[in-house]
Amino acid sequence: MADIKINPRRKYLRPEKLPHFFCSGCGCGQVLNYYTQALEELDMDPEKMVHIGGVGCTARIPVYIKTDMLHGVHGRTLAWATGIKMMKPDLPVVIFAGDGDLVSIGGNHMIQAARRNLDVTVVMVDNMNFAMTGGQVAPTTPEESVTMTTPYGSAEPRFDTCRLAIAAGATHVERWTTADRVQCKDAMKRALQHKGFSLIEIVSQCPTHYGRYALGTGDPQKVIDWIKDHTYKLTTADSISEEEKSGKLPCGEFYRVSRPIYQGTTVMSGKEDK
Amino acid sequence: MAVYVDKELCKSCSICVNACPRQVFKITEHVNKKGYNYVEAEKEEDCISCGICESICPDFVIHIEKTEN
Repeated sequence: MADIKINPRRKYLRPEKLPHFFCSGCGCGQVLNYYTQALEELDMDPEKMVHIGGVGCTARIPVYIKTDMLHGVHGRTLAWATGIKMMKPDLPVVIFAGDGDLVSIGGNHMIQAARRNLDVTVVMVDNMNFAMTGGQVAPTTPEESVTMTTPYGSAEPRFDTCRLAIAAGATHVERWTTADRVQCKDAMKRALQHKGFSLIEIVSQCPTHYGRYALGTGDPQKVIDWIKDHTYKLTTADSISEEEKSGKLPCGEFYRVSRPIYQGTTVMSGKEDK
Repeated sequence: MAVYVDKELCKSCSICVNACPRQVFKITEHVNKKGYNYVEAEKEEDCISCGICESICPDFVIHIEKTEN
């Protein structure tokens, strides 16, 4: 068909890299879609930004964006971002990191970057396991989940990354799921405009590993429905009883304040959102 | 309006099939070069151009061209 028209947001993507490597129904592709919507609405040019990915499924997201990107050291995305921000403070830096990248292997980098209030945007795609290596248990795996390395169910409670980031000193923290398409896009827009450390956690489906091991289904829609059933929104939290909230993750905008950002030896006074 | 599907990028995940409020899409029996059964806008005339499919597709397959009424 010669008359086929393609999605105009594909102008942000490298045509030679498509179709991307994500599995069928992976949430990383949806996050990439929401991110291009945020770029389009803010009229930002990714070629004048830096995107960083570590190692993992999520870290492949910057590979598909037409931009200057770094990819390939596990967990050290924020160490790279700190170096870039010291040399080029005006360059917008966006990090795509998975849960294994950001809270497991790069956990200490995340805490220290949040404490310093480094002016970066971190999009964390939480697919609840180490998906690229075959579905091993991660710090964000829900309790009692069966994974490749926990055949009798995980005995550990899950990490609440948003509370950790707030405690460490991040100035903009939100959590959404891939089912919240508009909220994800708006959260990314707020994060790109925020001056300071922004963490957007997006709880995502991994039908290939988490879905098949823990939920017994490889259907992306069933995994999305499971995520919807196991989260609640902060806006409707008052109408939900404590019993219903137990074991579920809250989703919403948790925290947004202004604080001086880190610029090496000099500290710039905290500006309002630009 | 028109619904465009770039079938070579489709990975048959059915997210658009489940999300569409008017059940426009259907997974076909044909396969693309990568071996996936791609989606097709079976009932294109029912489309209300809400744009949900375009905004949630993980593979940038779908494009809805809106027309002024």
